[in-house]
Amino acid sequence: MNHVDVRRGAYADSVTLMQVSRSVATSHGVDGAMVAMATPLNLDLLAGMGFEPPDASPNDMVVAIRLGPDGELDEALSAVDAALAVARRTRAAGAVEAAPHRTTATALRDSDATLALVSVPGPYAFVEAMDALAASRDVMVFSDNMPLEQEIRLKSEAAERDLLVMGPDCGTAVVGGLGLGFANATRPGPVGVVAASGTGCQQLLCLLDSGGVGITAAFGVGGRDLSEPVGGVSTRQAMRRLDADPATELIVVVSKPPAATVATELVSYAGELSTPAEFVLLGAGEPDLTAGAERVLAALDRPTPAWPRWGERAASTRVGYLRGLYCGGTLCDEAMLIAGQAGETGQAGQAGQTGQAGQTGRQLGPVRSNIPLSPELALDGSLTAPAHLMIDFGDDALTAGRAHPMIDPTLRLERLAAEAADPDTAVLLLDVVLGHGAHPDPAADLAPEVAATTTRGVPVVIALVGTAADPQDLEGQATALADAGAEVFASNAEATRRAVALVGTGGLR
Amino acid sequence: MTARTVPAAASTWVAGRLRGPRRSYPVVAVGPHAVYVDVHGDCVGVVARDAVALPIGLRTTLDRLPDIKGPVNVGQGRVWFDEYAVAVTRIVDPGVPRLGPLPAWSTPVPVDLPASALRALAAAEASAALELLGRGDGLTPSGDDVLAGWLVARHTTGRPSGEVGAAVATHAADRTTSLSATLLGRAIVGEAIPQCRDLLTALHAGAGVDGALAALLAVGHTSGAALAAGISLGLEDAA
Amino acid sequence: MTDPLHREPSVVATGVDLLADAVDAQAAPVTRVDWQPPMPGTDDDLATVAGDRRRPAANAEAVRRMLDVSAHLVDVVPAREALGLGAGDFLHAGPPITWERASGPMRGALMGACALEGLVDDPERAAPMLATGTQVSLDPCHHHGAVGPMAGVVSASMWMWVLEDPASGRRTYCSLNEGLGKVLRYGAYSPDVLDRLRWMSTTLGPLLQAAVRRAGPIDVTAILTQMLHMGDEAHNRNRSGTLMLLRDLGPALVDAGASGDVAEAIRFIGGNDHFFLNLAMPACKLALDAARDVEGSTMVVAMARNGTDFGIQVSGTGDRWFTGPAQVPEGLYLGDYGPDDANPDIGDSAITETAGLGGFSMAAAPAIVRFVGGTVPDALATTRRMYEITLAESPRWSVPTLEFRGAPTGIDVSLVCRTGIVPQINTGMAGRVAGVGQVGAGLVTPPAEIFPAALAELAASADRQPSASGARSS
Repeated sequence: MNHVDVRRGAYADSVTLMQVSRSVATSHGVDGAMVAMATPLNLDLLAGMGFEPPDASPNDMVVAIRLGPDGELDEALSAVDAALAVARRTRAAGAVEAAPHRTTATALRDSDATLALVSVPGPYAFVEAMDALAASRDVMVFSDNMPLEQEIRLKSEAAERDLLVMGPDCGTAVVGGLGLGFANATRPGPVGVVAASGTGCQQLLCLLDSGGVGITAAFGVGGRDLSEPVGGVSTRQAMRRLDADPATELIVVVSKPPAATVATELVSYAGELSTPAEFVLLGAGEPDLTAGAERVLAALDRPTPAWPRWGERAASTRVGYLRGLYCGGTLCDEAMLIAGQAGETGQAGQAGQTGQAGQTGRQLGPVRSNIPLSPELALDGSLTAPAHLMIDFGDDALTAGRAHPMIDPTLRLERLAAEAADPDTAVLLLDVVLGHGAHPDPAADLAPEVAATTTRGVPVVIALVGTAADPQDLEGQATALADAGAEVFASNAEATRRAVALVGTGGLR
Repeated sequence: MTARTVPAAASTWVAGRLRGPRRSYPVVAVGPHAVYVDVHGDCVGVVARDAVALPIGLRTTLDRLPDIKGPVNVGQGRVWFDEYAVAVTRIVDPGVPRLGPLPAWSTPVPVDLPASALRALAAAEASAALELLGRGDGLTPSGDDVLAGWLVARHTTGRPSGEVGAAVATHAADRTTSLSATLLGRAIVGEAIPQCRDLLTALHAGAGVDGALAALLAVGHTSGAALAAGISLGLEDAA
Repeated sequence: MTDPLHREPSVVATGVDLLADAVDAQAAPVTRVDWQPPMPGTDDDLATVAGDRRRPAANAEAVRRMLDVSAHLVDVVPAREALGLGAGDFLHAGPPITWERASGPMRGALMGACALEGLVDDPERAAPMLATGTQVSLDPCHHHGAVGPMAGVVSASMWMWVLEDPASGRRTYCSLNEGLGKVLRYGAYSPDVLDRLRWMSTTLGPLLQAAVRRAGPIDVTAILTQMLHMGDEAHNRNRSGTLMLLRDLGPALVDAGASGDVAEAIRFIGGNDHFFLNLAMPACKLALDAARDVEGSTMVVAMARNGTDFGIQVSGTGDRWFTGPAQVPEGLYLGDYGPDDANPDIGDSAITETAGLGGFSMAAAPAIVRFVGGTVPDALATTRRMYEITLAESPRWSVPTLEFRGAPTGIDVSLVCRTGIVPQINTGMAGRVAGVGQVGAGLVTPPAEIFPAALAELAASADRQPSASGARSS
């Protein structure tokens, strides 16, 4: 059955009426419906649907309904009225919240941000970082696994624009007092830091803080910046920034073992600057980070303090292997350099300049590692060997698909328990890194495992990298670890030497 | 009730004022963008994101402060009011750097202060401090702002504030508001709003001076102009 | 800034939330980017294009050229005169198409045009001629400086708007709008459709020509500016534009012809809210054509559909079309038409979106949102979303409901691939079957895969050379 009626003078806009039509057409017992203003076009459409077009003007509303066998006209008409009422009802104006931006480019366009912080997965980081440079912003690339050619391209773009790229794989930076990535709460002061090493930078900042010295800024540049292909582009840019800063009295460059040519170029570049510079470049025969911090203090005419330590000294040595379980790659490197055969990989010619800290103490010989000092010391996938071991749990291969061990301690805790149960383990050496971005209470998880280990008679030595102002409460963490039986040191170098000293000399099985 | 922690950036000095047991202190100024309290003669305040970044402030990222209904407490490393606990989670340096000698610089900034006092200040005479302290209206009278600008200029150029500084240190507490006296105390050690630092570093670099001056003049009703006038007087014979 | 180390830091954080949380916890302002992986398979090409040394300047240049264009209506002439079309030459919407692949409405419009040009008496008899290609040629409007809505079929006797950029003298063309419902551009070809077209050629075209020559030139770009402030988005809603055109041409029209013809012309124009669409489109094309052929530019300069394929052209890849299957719009249907009756997306009118109007300026035309049962906040959200894939904001076209922010303009292939956000297009819907005409209106998006295809071509031609200064310089 077809029904057509005309509502004189009734009006709704065409969009509303199309919605009403759709709603009515889908209601019970209705085979077809059209609710529309009676324009010639709509009357044609009505005729096309098989309705008799009514006599109506474009200012009238026409309601046409084709009922099915079980359709009720009253029901259908009330569906029309209901749909019209719904359409006319003022819609609740939803809160108009702007959706977040989807790219670094579009976010920077609407922001006065001074810096972009990129931590997307490595294959995507280049695109986001280039956005920042195009928007004339410095960028910190926390992401690792950026292809080398992209890093080179990124840094050359930054150099052309007089901008700074921190990273890729930059774990630590401090700008305007703001800690980015894994960074310790530092105080303002005269030192400007350039670091091609995250935890190396953190160790230095914490030791300086403990010595009463603060910083103007700490620019991470990424672990590869001082390699031959990258050529120290970001290091140079960061040094120039610091040189231009009137508050920076001393520039300190910290790096994992650099390419010799790049190091030479940078030392020569430092000579062109008006601000003095100290280089703390890890390597065989080079001063360790603690010695570097001491040199910085000396350059500022500050006394070297006794670096803080906590806990009772372990009663006796134990025969076996040193087992180092690290979160910080540079701290792990430093520990291997101190514990292992420092002279083997060359640079013997520089040995005469070696700082005192690097020379004291006994050395254990080769240390096997997943980040070995030389290729023949590499561990296989099992990460085990009857030898002195140092494992960097922050290495890319061990962080794929999980958070960094500074945040998620699971893997390292499991390994700690395994090492504690290994009769060949002489001593365990660990780092605990505090600061922004790190686990809020690392001692809570670690102390029970430490207690279990020391109870078995295996000594535990911990390098605790943190400042008094860090959110985790340095003293509280140190006390908890010391109470669990660990010997805790603010200096990783001191911790390593202590661990080496705890390895008994009775010969290994 | 658990307090809601609001992070803030502040200087080492400000953080130091928050130590000790928690107790109520008198509010010396309160508004949607700032609240200042007098802690044993030292004023510190919590400020919203776009408020003037006084060196005595705990700078938050809040667009505006909540309406404060109850007392303001300070202690245990925080400023407390209503359900909020403002904690210093970032230490910033409000100090102007030691730039050494700067070229003489003057700018015709009109300030409604006696010319004799300004001349005396340019000559670093103690009488200037006595005449300017507390002169003018408001929480930071313009006489104090001129003095603060002068003190900061002396600090950055590495010259002692001499008898002016001594007079300010001795008399500020009695002759002006506690807020202004606190700011003068910070100026003696070289702490100021960022716009002062930017102007001085621009003068040092010999570039961007106009922009930095415009930014400083835009501060407050008269504060920026008075600070600029003070810096100008402090640099008259700086070179 | 004289002292960058001591500026109060603020951060845009892209990636791990934990790092942004740490910034927040240190009382520094942080803007979080809702980053998601790009369209599948685009990783390498995105990196290559991001590293193309020419890209930033090329995109800036393309945007500048586009925004510098003013489109002035200067004349109305028959297509045979404007475009040199012979009786069997037909232009159509979208990327190139053959009769075999043409959809119902495209076929219907071509059949109607054959009858209009006297090649056949009855449109139904035109199919063999079109199928064999004897006496007829097919070519996209876009290849002739022209654009056409829906089927976009242009034949020799149709009259064309002529728009000119006064700075360069470049011109673009578009036919006159026939109105809604059963019209040739929606594939209808019944006798009344052809009668209307003949009237347009014999009466309306010459009248408009006389009027434009008296009253012109008329700044169409400026009318578009006003339209956005009057609730039009210049694709699916052209109501105020049509009225402003009548206002500007009215007196000259009255002076131009016999009173009966003039009254009918004005009635015709005033009775067709979409009349201005055929001016908005060539104005957008005139601007976008200026941005063509900038090497290294990733900016889209045309989006067009022929009812079968959706195609885009990109500034840095010349005349090449990147095509994929046209989608069926979502929206509301006239009468009891439904989704099964609708043809896939058709028409050059997406040139308005390409320039920042239409769906991109949805927030300026909240009434349009209800085509998809949306809300005013949806309209705002749609326009805001388009900023995520565009290079610039129009200095001339602004959106009142977004505090007069400039319309998002200059679609970036790279941003589309990165965000997976595809351009939002407002459109009419043609019936699937030749001869039916319009069945509805709604919203549609391009097939997503054409953007990665364009990106791959941009990557293949990218400048990968390191700069002369190189990484070691500083």
